[in-house]
Amino acid sequence: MRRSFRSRRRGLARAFTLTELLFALGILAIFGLATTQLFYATFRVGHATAQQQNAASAFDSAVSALRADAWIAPEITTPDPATAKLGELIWTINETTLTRDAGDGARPRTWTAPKGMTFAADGASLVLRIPAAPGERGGDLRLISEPMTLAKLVAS
Amino acid sequence: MSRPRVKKSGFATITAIVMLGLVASMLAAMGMMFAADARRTRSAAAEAQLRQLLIAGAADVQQRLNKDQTTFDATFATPAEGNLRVTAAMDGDGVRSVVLANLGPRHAEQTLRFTRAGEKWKLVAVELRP
Repeated sequence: MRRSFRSRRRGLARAFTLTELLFALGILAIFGLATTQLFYATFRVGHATAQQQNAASAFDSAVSALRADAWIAPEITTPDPATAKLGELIWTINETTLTRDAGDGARPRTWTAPKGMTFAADGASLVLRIPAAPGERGGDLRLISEPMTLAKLVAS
Repeated sequence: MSRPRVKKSGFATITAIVMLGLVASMLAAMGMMFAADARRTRSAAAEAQLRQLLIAGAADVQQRLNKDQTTFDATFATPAEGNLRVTAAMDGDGVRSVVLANLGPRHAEQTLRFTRAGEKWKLVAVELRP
C-alpha cells in the first residue's frame, strides 16, 4: 500500500501542470506562426526575385533594340505618345507591350514593358518616359540619334 | 538516483535548422537580386561611356572630312583605361569610316558612311556592331 502511494507520488511529481502546458502551447503557437511567416516570406522573395529579373531582362532587351534603332535613325518623330517613327521603323506602345515594326513585312517583335510608358521627340533624341510605380522610381530614358546629333554639330 | 533517460526527438533542432536554411535561401535570393542590379548598373554606365566615345569619334571624323582629310587612321587615349580609334577611306563616291571605342574589357564599333553634300560631308548611314 505504501509502495503504491509512493510510486503514484513520484508519477505526479513528473507530470506537467496546466499552466506549464498552456505556456508550452503558447510558445509553440508563436513559433509556428513565425515559421509560417518565414516560409511565406521566403517563397515570396524567391518568386519576386525571379519575376523582377525576368522583367528587367525583357525591358533591357527592348531598350537595347530601341537604342540601336534610335542611334542610326536619320529622323525621329512621335505622331502620338504611343508611337515613335525612327526613319522607316515604327515603335508602338500598347498598355504593357512594346512593339517594333521594321516596315519590311517581317513579323513585328514585341516585348513586355512597364505600364504607362510614352514616347517624346526632343531634338536629336527620342525620350522614353517611364512613370513611377510602387517599388519603381520611373524616369526618362534619352536615346540619341547619331546622324541627327552630327547634323546639329555641323550646323552649329 | 540517476534520472531516467528520455529519448530526445530533436524536433527543436531540426526546426531551427530548417528555419536557418529558409533564412539562408532568402538571403541568397536577395543577394542575387542585388548583384544582378549592380551588374546592370555597371554595364549601363560603361555602355553610356562607350556611346559617348562613339559620338566623339564620329564628330572627329566629320571634322577631318570637312578639312578634306578623307583617309586617316588615328588612335586617341581616353580616360578610364580606354582608347578610341578612327579610320576612314574613300569608298566609291563617299567615305567609309570605322570608329572603335574600347573601355577596359568592353568595346563598341560602328561603321559610318559619308557622302558629299555641297561643300560639306554628310553622314548618310550608320551601322552599329554589338
